[in-house]
Amino acid sequence: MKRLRTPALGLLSALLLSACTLVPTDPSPRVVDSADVPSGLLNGAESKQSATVSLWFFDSQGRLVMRSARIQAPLTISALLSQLALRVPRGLSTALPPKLVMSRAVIRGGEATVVFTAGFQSGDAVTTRATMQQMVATLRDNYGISVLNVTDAATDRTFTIDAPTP
Amino acid sequence: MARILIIEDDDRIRTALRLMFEGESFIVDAAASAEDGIAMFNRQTPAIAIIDLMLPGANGFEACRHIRSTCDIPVIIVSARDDTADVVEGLEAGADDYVKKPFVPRELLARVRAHLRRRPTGRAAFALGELRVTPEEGTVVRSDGTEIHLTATEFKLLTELAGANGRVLSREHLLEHVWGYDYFGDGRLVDVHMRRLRAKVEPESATPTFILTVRGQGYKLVL
Amino acid sequence: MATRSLRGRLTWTFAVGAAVLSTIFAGLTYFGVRHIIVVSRQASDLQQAYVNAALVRSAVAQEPASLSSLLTSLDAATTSSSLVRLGSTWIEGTTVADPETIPATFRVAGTEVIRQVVIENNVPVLIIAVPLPAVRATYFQRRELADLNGTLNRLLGILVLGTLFTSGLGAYAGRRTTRRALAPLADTAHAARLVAEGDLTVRLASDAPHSEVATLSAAFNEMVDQLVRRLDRDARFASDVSHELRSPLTTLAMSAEVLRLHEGDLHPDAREALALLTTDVATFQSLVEDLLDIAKADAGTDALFNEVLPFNELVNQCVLSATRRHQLPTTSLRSELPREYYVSVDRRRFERVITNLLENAYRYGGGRVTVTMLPSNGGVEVAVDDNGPGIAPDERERVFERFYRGDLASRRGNAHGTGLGLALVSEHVKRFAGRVTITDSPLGGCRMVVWLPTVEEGGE
Repeated sequence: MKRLRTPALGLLSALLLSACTLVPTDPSPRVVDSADVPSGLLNGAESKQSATVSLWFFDSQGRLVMRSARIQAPLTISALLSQLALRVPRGLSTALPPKLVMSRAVIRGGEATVVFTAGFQSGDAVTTRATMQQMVATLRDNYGISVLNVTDAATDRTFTIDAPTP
Repeated sequence: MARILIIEDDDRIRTALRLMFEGESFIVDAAASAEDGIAMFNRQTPAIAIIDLMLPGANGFEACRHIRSTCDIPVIIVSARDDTADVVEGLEAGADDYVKKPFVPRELLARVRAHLRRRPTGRAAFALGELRVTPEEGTVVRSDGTEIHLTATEFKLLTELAGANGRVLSREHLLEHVWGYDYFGDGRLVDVHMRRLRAKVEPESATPTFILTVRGQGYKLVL
Repeated sequence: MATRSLRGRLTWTFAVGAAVLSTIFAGLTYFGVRHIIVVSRQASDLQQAYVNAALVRSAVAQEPASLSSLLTSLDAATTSSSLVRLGSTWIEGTTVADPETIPATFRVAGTEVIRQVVIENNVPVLIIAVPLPAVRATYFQRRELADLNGTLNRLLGILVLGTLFTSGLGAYAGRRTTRRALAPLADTAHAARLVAEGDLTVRLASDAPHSEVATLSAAFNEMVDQLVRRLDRDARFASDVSHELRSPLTTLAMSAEVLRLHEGDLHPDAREALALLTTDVATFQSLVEDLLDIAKADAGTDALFNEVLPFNELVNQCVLSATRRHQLPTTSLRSELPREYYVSVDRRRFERVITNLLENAYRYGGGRVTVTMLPSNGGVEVAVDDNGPGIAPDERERVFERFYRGDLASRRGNAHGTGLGLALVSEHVKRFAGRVTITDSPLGGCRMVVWLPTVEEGGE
């Protein structure tokens, strides 16, 4: 009987010690039962809502001018950028290349970081700057950012621009 | 030739005693029971008696008392037990000495002879309160002429104390001079005899005036 | 294990039992509490996530520009970090968070709310993902559970301390109860020791009736009673036998005496036979008396009449008496006492002691015997010396045993002693609170020394 005591104690202490991290972790994500989620949150009903956005383009004198547009939700950065690149109103021009491929964008606080994997020509400094100006203005109006960082994954170069005050 | 009375119920011991004392030129009256013994005693008074205390029916004490009530001859009690109670009772009943069984025959013989020795003479008579003690005659007489009977041993004890002239005599001394015992005699003999003596000569035995006990030392006689 | 005391083992069992029980209890408590607080935290975090997700959804739909600051304010309010993913755009608050922190498994867009607790930098983090199909976005919420960790840590600490304390208490309680429970054993052992040493009055007090202790006490007392009865019986037997022998012995002695008185009439051969008879009868009588003395000493029925006596005079008288009674040669007696000393003894028994020692000395010595009185530590000594062969050191304890006949006695074929002489000396001296020892004698043989404590004159 005495012989069993020591290993039993050891087992118990091992058990206790295994809870070293104390709060138990999950090996994989656990699904929450849909019944427990407030209804409506997960409703798939996509609102056909369209939102009004502010887009910025260059005029003939090279000044930035704002034009409103309506685009469908969700309002993603890629949606905005494609608007900037492709739906140029008559009389205005855009500095954005047409075949931009954005991999990721992160908006943290007032700072946006966008990563392009292709299509962002950064050879010409003037064009790049113009592109940046256009993007930062647009994003400022729609996302409230004040700083824009662009990383061109193809050339591995990063550009930063502050948003102009409205 | 002195006459000796032996009361002993054990046949063999009685026979052996008779043989021994007859061999020492005594006339022996041997009885096997207290009744026979008393009868013999009544018929002829012996000079000394030896009584076994352990007679059937505790009659040893009876015989002793009977003899003592009649005369002053020395009585030696014999017993296989030396229980204080028995010994004291025997001595109170009037015995002068006791010998424990088994006794060494020679010693018993010596005892008997010692008790039969003549009373000490040569001592002057003296007064003890209203009593007059005359060692020459061996008498103690009251002022009104009546005699107080003391046994030989009691008398010897009294004269021994008187002879000390007020000095304290130890139990050992008394045992040696009165009974002839050596250093190893039994102090109880002295104590019981003192009690008996006081009962006879003291006017008030509870508060002795003549025979005094000195604690741790012995006894003394104050005249 | 076997050598550990019963008490030790019981205490150990108590301690371990307490430890195991308290560990189990602590474990149950701990896991129970942990489950409760984790579940409730998750539930509240989920609720929070749902609320936040709803806000995010409407923001995404109506005012995307405000998303970032919305997230910032949400984070500030709830100490979590939130992320929203629109397509490949990640929008976060100002709390430092990185899309990289969202596990890959989460990044796959799903249709159900999922949650996971992961460890990041040794801190547990709860990540919840709420898909918002209506705006094609997903809301992520990261909440560090460090405070839970802290709580559980403290709880664990308290429980461990509690377990240790309880084990200690268990051990202590074990010691106390075992001492009380085993006290009867200790008492019994003590009582048994006393009985072995000779105290036969010892009995165990009985506890509550019908308890095991009472059974033990009763059994022990019964055992001692039986022992006492047996010893009594034996003592009485020895005493009865001696008593019964006395009468025939007396007759024998007296008859021999009678014959001796008439020995002049006997044939020389008869005279010789009579001499043998007388001697042996005397020895027989001594033996019976010695036996009786020993039996009385054993049974404790011998009454001592102790007197305070001057030592010098006592020894003198004893030697004189022994010499006379047993026809011994004159023994030289010397005293080295500086003054008078007093001892408390029964004089007749002391005489026996001296007699036996002298007889022994003459019997086994070379013929010369001296007696010397000496002062000693706290008492006085009387030394009896002889010039015989002495007694070997390894026999000096054993000669006091009853009927012990050492090499010497057997060799000489000397059967005059009763075999009880020295045993009686030992018994009597013990009763006088004295000691008797054997050493080598300046005369060349054996020296027997009796030591007695001294008392004040006039004392009892």
